[in-house]
Amino acid sequence: MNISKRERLYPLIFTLPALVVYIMLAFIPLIFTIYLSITNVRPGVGTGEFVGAKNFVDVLTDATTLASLRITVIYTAIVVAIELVLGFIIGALMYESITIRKVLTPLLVIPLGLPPLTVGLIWRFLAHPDFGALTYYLRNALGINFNYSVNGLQAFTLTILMDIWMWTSLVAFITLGGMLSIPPEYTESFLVDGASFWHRLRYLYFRMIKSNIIFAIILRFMDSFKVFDQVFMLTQGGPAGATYYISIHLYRIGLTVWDLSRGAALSLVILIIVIIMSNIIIKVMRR
Amino acid sequence: MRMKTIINIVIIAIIALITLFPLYWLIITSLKSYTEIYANPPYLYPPNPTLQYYIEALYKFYGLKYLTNSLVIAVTNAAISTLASLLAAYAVSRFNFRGKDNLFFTFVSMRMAPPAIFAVAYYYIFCRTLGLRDNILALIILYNVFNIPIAIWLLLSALEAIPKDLDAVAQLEGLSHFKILFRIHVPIIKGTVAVSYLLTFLNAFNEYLFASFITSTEARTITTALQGMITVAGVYWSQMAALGVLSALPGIIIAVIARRYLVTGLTMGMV
Repeated sequence: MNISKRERLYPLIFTLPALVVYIMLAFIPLIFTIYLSITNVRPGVGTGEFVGAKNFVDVLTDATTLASLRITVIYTAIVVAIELVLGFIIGALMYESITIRKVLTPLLVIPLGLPPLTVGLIWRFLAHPDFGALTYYLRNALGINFNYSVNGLQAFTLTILMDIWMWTSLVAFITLGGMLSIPPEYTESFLVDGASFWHRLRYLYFRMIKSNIIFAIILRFMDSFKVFDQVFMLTQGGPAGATYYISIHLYRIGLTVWDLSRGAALSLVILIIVIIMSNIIIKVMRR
Repeated sequence: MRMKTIINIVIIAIIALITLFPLYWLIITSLKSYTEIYANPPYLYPPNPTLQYYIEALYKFYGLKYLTNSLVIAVTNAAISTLASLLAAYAVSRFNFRGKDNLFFTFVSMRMAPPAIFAVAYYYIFCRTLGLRDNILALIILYNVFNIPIAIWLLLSALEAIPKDLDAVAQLEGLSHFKILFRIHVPIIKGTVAVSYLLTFLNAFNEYLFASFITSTEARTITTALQGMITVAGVYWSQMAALGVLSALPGIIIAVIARRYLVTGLTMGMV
């Protein structure tokens, strides 16, 4: 009797620390955010009364929010597409040559280990309008007058380049992981047939590692959708909102403007998108 | 054959150059003086390398204090989250209980959610309710939110690989579950425990968003200090670059040492 009761308590005891963390850092914040989203709370202005779905309507019809969502989606689509193609090619190069794999692996992991904020700093120095190396070579070699602090399109492009620099290697490693599990006979038969590199990419690797590629797409999609630190360091969302991605918008509504209720409503909208995406990931992974 | 070697060398050189040049630029900026930084054409090497700016960054700009804060937070948080995750992963792999199936979903959601969505809630919990504004304790607790899922994930797959027969033998010997975990399982999976510690350490050390609104002066971390230097000390580029290099060191070291597991950690072990 006593023993069986203890046996039943064990799962609780062992999961308790993690459970406490989750109640405190996920459940309570969620309830609090729901509460904020259906009331009217704003220090000094709000009354705290129940307003129903008004905050959701406000935030989803707000021009700034829609503009922010729009550029976030464009940014995400561009970086995911480029990183996927480049990462896939680099993955294949690393798979086919042990020399390339051995030399590049320790180099390509470096961007993945850096603090994202430091990545922002690195690119700030690289693209500084007065002394950046990138600025200098763009001006002198290509005749482009580069100043990301005033030119919105250049700032947007710069954040894309930074994302590619930072994350392409993750795609390379994910695709490499898939290729390493292809039965070697397959690759050998393609090599014996004299298939070109592009032919092998298209008809061998792409076909064999589809699930890894889908996984890489979803993972990179979600991570670039929530991009914050490095862009906040580089451009702070500017100039004129050109890099005002959704996480920066959330941060500003909540912790700079203190428009807590609308911020909470937007948080929940994003959370719902995330939950739908997570479900898709689980379906993909289980298949 | 020779042609192929040349192509390989070219490929390696191009990718290495693109990967390393931005980092190299940061490092040489930290070794140049203010006027050398603004030189036109730019110096591609530091003409008069000096560690002066590192010393200034550490002492005049309190870099040492902020680095210490970041290290204390990361060391402690990694220990807590690895320990809590070890217990939870053991429960998931060895016991049957309700809600176990939701775990996967919860973890994936936590991994995917933008941290900014709960920023306001965390501000109210830690700064208003618990009175932990500008206290490193707040970050030590808070960083568990992203570190526990990653650590459970890594440890769970390692624990699952240990045959259950071993537990049965240990139980016959009269060992409790705690003893089975810490005396039998942990020594077997100590490599994974170390990796889990390193990765959670790195996540905590590298974090910026939460630290930016929880801390102000006393508990300020290295990443917040870097961001703060833009406005406060707009002209101290060399010192800022020096602090940037120091902030990058743990990441570079851990990434190179634990490179295989870094990818596992970033992909939640799904690859």
